[in-house]
Amino acid sequence: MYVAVKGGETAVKNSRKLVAKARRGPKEIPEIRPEQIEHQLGLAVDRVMAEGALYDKKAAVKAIQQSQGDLVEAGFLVRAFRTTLKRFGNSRPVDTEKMQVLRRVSGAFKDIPGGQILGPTYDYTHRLIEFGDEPDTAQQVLREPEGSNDRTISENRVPMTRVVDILIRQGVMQQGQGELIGEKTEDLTRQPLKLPAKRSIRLQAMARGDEGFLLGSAYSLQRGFGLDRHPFLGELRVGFVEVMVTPPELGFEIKVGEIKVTECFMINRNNGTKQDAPGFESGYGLVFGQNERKAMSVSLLDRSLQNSEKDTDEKYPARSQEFILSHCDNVESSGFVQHLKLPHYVDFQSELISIRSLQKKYRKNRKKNNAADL
Amino acid sequence: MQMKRESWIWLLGSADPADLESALEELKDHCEFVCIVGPETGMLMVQAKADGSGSRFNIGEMTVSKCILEVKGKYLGTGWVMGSDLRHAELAALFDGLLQDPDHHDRLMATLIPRLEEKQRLKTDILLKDASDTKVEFFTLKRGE
Repeated sequence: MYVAVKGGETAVKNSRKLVAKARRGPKEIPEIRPEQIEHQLGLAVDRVMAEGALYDKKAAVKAIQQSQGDLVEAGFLVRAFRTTLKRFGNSRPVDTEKMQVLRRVSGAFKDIPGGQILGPTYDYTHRLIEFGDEPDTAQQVLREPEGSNDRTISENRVPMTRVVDILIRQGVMQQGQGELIGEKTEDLTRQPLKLPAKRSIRLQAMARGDEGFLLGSAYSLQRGFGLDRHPFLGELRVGFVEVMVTPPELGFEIKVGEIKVTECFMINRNNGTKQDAPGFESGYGLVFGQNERKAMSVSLLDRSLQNSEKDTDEKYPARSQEFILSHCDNVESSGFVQHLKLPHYVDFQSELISIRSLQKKYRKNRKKNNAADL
Repeated sequence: MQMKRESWIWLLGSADPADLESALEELKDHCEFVCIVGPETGMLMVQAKADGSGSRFNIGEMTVSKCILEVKGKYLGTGWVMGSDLRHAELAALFDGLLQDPDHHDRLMATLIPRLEEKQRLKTDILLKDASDTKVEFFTLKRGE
């Protein structure tokens, strides 16, 4: 238990000054401008928006700057900021099939309708740091004129059928259940997590969950803690989706924005049971921004949590709803772990007294036993 | 050319606010308007469907700013923009109002709107071209040859 303490006002004030000084760095070095963070640290911005559960570039950028690049702290700042805003309503569900794709790959099929598009990815880079002795690729890119005429738009407008839809058509995967009429969408920001949680809550919790925790948990599945077969990447898409809303004052639907998201379908094999036919099953992940590692982890965990609903096998952490959902939020986990830094002096005094009395008893008993042995 | 109101609302909402400011200067005549709602910043909960087509779920919220205003006491203009730029929401609402006004409609449709459309098209084209440049054909190699 934490007991409130008083005092230290000056020290706290000075500590804040010190953090501001550390954040700014030496005066001779120019301060980073928000646009530089937005455009040159874009993936960090994406992560903060996802974990902050708020798609707001400006807020994420300021949060990154204010937290000296501590992205978990930045996500916390964004979460705090979102509590100050009122909610205007819900969007229509985004249509990811109509996504303006920047990147789209499949690990299961070589030829997919619409093609495989690598987009911007580190996957095929050499992971060599460009220290600046040689001109780095960024400088070369700047010299190329944007939208030069020699490039043509190819058959990119070909609709990109989802890979899972192909499997469904071929009869090796079951069509997922559509939305039931009048089905209520639960919202984690309006009610606390209740277990067992519906899939909609699980997908929301993981979309705003900690990337590292979700990655580690998904990895544990792959290493055999809950998954005994190799999963396949059905499809991974990164791109812009339209956000549509019907404002009450208009009564018709308008487009308010385009947001970048990463969507992932992971395919798992199911050998079938007496009730279930053999086939493939998919896991789904959708997160804000370009964050493939996280979308893939979410889709692996989504599948494993769907399976544990059926067979109630929660032997492994990544098959337990409680383990994953109660621990994936880094605002909660970081708060609880870090609260240990706060003064617990009174608590600890009582612990000390208790330990001392136990030690006294222990010594007395040992003396007694030693005497008996003699 | 007939354009639906929802189309210009999106063009105004996604425009560079500087373009709207300069269009306002071009208008010359003073346009009167009264703000009815906002401009204010709030959030929209972005929803999606599990597996792309199943039950609805909430991915997270996004910051939006909106404004409703009345132009010349007759036309209700609405502006919705992503982010927290209140001035942008106000300008978008103002131009939505003006576009409903026959005195301004044609001129704006001939000046501002094509400019915004062109910018929007350029942005999309660059994205499409960049993506199509990275289209790959993977080959599977036969072993033992």
